[in-house]
Amino acid sequence: MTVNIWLLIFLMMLLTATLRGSFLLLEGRITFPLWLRRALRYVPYAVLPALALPAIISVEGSYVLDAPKLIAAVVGVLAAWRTRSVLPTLVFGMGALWLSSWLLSSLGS
Amino acid sequence: MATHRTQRQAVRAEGQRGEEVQEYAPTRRKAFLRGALDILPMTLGVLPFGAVAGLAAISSGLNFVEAVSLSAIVNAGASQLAALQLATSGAPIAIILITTFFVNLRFLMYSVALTPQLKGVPQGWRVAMIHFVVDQTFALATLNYPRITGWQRRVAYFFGVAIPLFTSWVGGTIIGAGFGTAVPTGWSLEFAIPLVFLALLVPTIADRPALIATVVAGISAVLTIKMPLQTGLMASALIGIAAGMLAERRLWSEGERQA
Repeated sequence: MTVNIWLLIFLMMLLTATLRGSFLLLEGRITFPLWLRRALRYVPYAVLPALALPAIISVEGSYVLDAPKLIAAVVGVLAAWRTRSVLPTLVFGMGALWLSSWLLSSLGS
Repeated sequence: MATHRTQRQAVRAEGQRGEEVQEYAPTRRKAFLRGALDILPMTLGVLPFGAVAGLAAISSGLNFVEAVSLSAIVNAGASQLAALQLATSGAPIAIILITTFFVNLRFLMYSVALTPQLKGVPQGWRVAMIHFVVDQTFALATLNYPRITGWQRRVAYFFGVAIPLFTSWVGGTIIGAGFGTAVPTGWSLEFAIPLVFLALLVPTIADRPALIATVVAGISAVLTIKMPLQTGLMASALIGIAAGMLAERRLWSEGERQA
């Protein structure tokens, strides 16, 4: 890690507080055009998969099709969809990762 | 007594839903407790999320104090995990901040939506609330504010939700950071990070434009993995947003044609 962690914490806090507070503090003094408000709605749908997928199918920027990771990701998506909550998604996803990598390594040997 | 009566009159003035309003949060104290009660089941899900954030911070090279401070001071889990992921891959601070901006843009949305529901709240209380505008406080507030009258009770409800939530978030981080160094790398716990992103994402996909934005951004992020300094992430986010908006417009015009 090359960045200064305290500087990073401070700047992330400042940026996030601005996003959280702008409207609450400047009530009525700023308005957004409609297209921008519509665009805001899609931000989480666009950012979260863009963060998750590369972490599932790549290692340090190169494609690696790792079967246990793919299986665990599919199980994780199903768990997230059915249970709508973080804890079971983690339990089923990590469980699938450990089980499938153990199975594959014992089959391979 | 006098204030109590005006309150009841105000509640009655609300019309048919008056009784429900009074039962839900008739005083500031009850509003606070109601908020705490509403968030309680969710705090159980926040603990492991906090633990993942603590673990991720430790395995990225942060010490215990830095790891816990990150959760307490930034209080935005997804952006913290993204920042740690980027920082360990050697990304410069500007790229980390741009990513933070995109990951936390939804808070701007929440701020926009909460503002009309917090009419009359003094500036000092607003400043105090800012740090706690997160997914869960926003969701519960917008869900229940229609049946809570008066800004005092709305603020009390907000902090009733926010305080247990923040406590379990930081508590989870303390647990994760405490165990951090004791967890063997063979457990591949770093995989918990994309799993958390999926857990946050999947349940919120409610319509086709949202699904299209998700799929397009995901495919684009995979295709642009090799772009330098994580610029693929930014490009994919913008492409995903555009795809969602286009899909929404198409859906609308199709609906008009059928009607």
